[in-house]
Amino acid sequence: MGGRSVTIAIPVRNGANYLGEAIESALRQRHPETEILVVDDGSDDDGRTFAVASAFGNRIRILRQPHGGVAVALNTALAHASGRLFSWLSHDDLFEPEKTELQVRVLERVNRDDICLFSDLSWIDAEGRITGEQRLDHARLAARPRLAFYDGLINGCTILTARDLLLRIGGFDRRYPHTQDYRMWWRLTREATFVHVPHCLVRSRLHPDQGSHRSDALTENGAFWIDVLDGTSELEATLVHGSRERFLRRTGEFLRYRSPNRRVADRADRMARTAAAEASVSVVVDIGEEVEAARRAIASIEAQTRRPNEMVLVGSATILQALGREWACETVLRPTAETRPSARMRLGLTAASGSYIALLMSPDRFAPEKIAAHVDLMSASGCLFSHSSYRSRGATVATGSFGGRVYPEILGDCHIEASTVMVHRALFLSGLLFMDADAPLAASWIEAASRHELAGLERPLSEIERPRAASEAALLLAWLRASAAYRGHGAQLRRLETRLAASAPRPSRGAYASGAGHDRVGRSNAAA
Amino acid sequence: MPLRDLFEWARSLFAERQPTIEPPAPAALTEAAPAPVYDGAALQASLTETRRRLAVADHRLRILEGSNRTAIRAFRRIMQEREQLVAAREAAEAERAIAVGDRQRTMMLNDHLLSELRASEEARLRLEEENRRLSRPAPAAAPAAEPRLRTGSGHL
Repeated sequence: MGGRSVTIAIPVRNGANYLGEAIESALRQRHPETEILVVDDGSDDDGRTFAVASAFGNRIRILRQPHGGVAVALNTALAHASGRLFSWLSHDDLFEPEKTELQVRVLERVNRDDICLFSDLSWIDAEGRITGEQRLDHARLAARPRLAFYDGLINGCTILTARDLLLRIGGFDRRYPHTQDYRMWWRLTREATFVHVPHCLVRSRLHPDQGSHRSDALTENGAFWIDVLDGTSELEATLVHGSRERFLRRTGEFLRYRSPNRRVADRADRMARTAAAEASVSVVVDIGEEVEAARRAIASIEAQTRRPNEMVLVGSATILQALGREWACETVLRPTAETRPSARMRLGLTAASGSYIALLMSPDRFAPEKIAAHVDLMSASGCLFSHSSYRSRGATVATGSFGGRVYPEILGDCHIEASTVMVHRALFLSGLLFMDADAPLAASWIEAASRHELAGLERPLSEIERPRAASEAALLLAWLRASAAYRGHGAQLRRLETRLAASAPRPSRGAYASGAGHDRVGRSNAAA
Repeated sequence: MPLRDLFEWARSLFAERQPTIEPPAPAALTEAAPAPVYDGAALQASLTETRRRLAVADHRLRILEGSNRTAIRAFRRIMQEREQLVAAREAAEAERAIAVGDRQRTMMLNDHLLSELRASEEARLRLEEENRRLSRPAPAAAPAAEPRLRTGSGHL
């Protein structure tokens, strides 16, 4: 069979009641290169199931095996299928005539073999009457494809994917007769991308004889979701819902209100309550040029109400050696001759292992509650970037009120200081931070803001000796003008230009240092 | 009423109104009332005019029938284009989901690579420290020092 060939597998055991209708719906597929493969999983109904299938003659293929369960039947179908693409149809469900044709068309256009399509469906009763529809939020699933699995939105009979993909990840797990499909989707989420097709392509029958209603199925289902809660890493959870805490809360809601797993929902809620406290935290410290200032900066980290898991000290080997080695915090050293702030920050972030990473540039210091406040906010809200107000030479600079969806406004008004920032490592892994070693630090805040919301803490949580944002404004303007992504924002760049001109020293009235006057940023949070 | 049927009906109206010149029945000639005077020229002119209008109507009907076929073809073309646009939109939305999925898998891979990098860097620093320790001359008459493994501390 050719590249557009599809195998429709129909596993069945004692399914004479609805099997004929299912096979007929498969035969009515408009897509020409379709093979129908019925796998009789040890039916013991005096041959009635086999008789129903046999009546279709050579229009279908029939395989018979001793009873082994749905997973074994599906693996049998996978092994014997001749189609390049694979889909499966429960014996009591129906395909719409356009199902295969429409999905093959989508796969042909994207031309990828690591895609698994799934679709909407109609519900039918025991008599085949349509009783409702399940239409999913297509835009949401396009933006966050992993939700397809974690929100339990995939019906196996709606899928179409490459047979080789299913074989490569090991087929269906025969140890789980009732959740073999969910476990397959979980593995597929890591190896492929689920793509939603917004059409009702399957009629799914709800009737009392279904196996999914039995208590052993429910027990196995509960065990599966416990495995998901325990086996989803911090980073995976962040990719789905912004933080592990939010992932656990949202999964708990799903389990409580859209599945019969109440006890697992309670477990998810308990795990969510301790997620923030269990999250790992690193602090990347640019130790600067003065040993004593660096000591004070490090001392402010060690005085935190919530001590970080590690400090990553970046700077010259001479300063690092002078600082010594005996710190209460786990310490990682990254000696470097690099002097550019963005490059040093990138070196530190590469070495950091924490889920949340605070930035500190000596001689700046942290307030004692800094790390706790940032982690609590980011964990609860799922924000990947946070910053705070700060104090400088006795004055409070309320930059922390600048938050929400601040792009492109941030292009013209970026007062964020590096020593007030905490990020989730997912942000660094996505390639948004400090990728250009010559760029000003503010370039990274802008890159982050262009994709994500920023969380601002209005309390001053850092002490900034020498604010850098104002002194970087000229460099930032040049960088923005040179950037194809940002140079088109004329209004914001003009505002930055005006601010830069206004802060230039005026020789006739007596000079004042650029950046020494701190504007009070009373901007309210931008609307999300 | 379909357009074609409308014009068929109009044609039938023109056909009905065409006067039929029939010779008067002989009995009618014996009526007491005097026979009407028929203006043959006027009737002929009326017939000619009616036929002309019928021809024009037929011509217009053919034009509209042609326009209808054109309209049907245009409608079919629009529906085909719409289907293609829907397919293109669905493919673009699929591409968006795929791009997000690719980016997230790349992030997972980056995380793994960075973890390996950190582990190898720490191993390298431990080996360097061990090497330096072993290179230092042993103090005279001092008991042999137990090797100390300092895991997790910073090393230059």
